Amino acid sequence: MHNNYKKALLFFANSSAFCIDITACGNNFPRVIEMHIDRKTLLGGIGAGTIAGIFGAGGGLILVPLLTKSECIAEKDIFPTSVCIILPICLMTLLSLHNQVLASFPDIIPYLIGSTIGGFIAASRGKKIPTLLLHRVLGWMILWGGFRYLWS
Amino acid sequence: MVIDYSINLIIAALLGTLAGLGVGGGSILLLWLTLVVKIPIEEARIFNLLFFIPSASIVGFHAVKSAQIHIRDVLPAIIGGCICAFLFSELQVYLPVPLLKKFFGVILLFTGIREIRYRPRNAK
Repeated sequence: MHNNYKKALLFFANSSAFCIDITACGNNFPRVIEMHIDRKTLLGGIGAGTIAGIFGAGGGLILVPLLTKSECIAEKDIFPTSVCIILPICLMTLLSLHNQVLASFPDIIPYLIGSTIGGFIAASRGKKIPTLLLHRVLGWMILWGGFRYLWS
Repeated sequence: MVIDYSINLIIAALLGTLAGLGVGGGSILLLWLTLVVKIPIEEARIFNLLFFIPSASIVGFHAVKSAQIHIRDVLPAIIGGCICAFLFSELQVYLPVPLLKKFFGVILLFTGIREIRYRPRNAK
């Protein structure tokens, strides 16, 4: 039992690893389950949560660059990972905004249908879409939006 | 400005694809809603959050099912992100909208530059 505590402390001291125990009890407590935490992924999640909480969008703006720098995530998995992290963040933000009522709920229906279609396209054809070109085009559009926000 | 239902649907499908690919669909939708459709930013936030759910759920489900992503690896980021999202969404009601817009503008400028300069990791 004592050794398990020592192991637990050792893992806490190591900045790239974290130990967590949810189910263990009795003589084996705390049972050490090593969970590897990548600092950049964690920071990305925190940054994405902050931005999404304030603006309701743009979590990926912080998360994707940090995931790109992370060595724990393969290049091809960066964008799906980003989506998987942002989805619960998005739900949490919505939960905290539950008291803000949408004045025009029917207006959102085409967006929800479009989003569903888009999700199927991204899931089935995502790898065939030339993302480099998308980044360039979107970059200019986002830049234009930034100027509009700053100087309107 | 009243935008035709079918135009909204096409734009949403395009942006839903981008959101699913994780390349700034949400930010572009926020720009579309506030600058073109002229929806107040507070309402556009909720629109945008709701919009992201169907697309991200499909992509997320597909990624987890195909074992591309292991939830355990991203769980700390999800927990940290959810805590911050909750705290800052409670705090943002006290921030003035013009300041929020300027701040978002700065973030967009940086992001735009980053997207233009984007190179795949293996090409660096």
